[in-house]
Amino acid sequence: MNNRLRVLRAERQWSQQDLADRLEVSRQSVNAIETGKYDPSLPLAFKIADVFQLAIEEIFLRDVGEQAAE
Amino acid sequence: MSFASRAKPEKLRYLIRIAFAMVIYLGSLFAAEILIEDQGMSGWPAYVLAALPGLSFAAVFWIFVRLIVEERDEYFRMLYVRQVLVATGLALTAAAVWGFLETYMPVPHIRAFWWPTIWCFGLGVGAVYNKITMGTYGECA
Repeated sequence: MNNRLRVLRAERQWSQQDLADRLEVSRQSVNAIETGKYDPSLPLAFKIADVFQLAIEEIFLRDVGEQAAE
Repeated sequence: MSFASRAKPEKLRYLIRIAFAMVIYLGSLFAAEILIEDQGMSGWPAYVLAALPGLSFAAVFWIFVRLIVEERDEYFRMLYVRQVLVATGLALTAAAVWGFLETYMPVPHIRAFWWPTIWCFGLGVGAVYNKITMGTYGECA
């Protein structure tokens, strides 16, 4: 799943550690989500949305293949 | 205070539990060597004492399960589960392959306590696998 985490974080001038502290997860978790190696659980996705004050679908984007299948 | 530093209690509990399990393992192994091997202890107490070092492996499995349950970071939980799967796959495959080799080929017998030992080694292999595929070893590598 693609996401805009890196862009949103950069807009706020937060480091990965800053975001990790706000989410109460490790910096490695933030890095794994940003690089697409790990998709967060729904509770964590909601927490990310809360931190950025955005809707989940404004942060996490469906893969092109998933959209084409619909 | 960052989450990384607040996450230490889980890891500290893991390390304390592992140290405690190792004390039980080494203590029972030492006692079995002296009381059974050297002093000829026999009967049911000898069976219980001989089983104790092996039973301490149960503590290692329980300790790793507790680590997975207590870990608050879901990403690290996933890394630990991957470690366990790699370790289990390695140990059981090695046991199965060697079992068939012993059945059909003239290879030396390997005592069964080496298979859980290989599982523990496999946790390290799993951590390296995590590093290669996910970019991090996890906290208990």
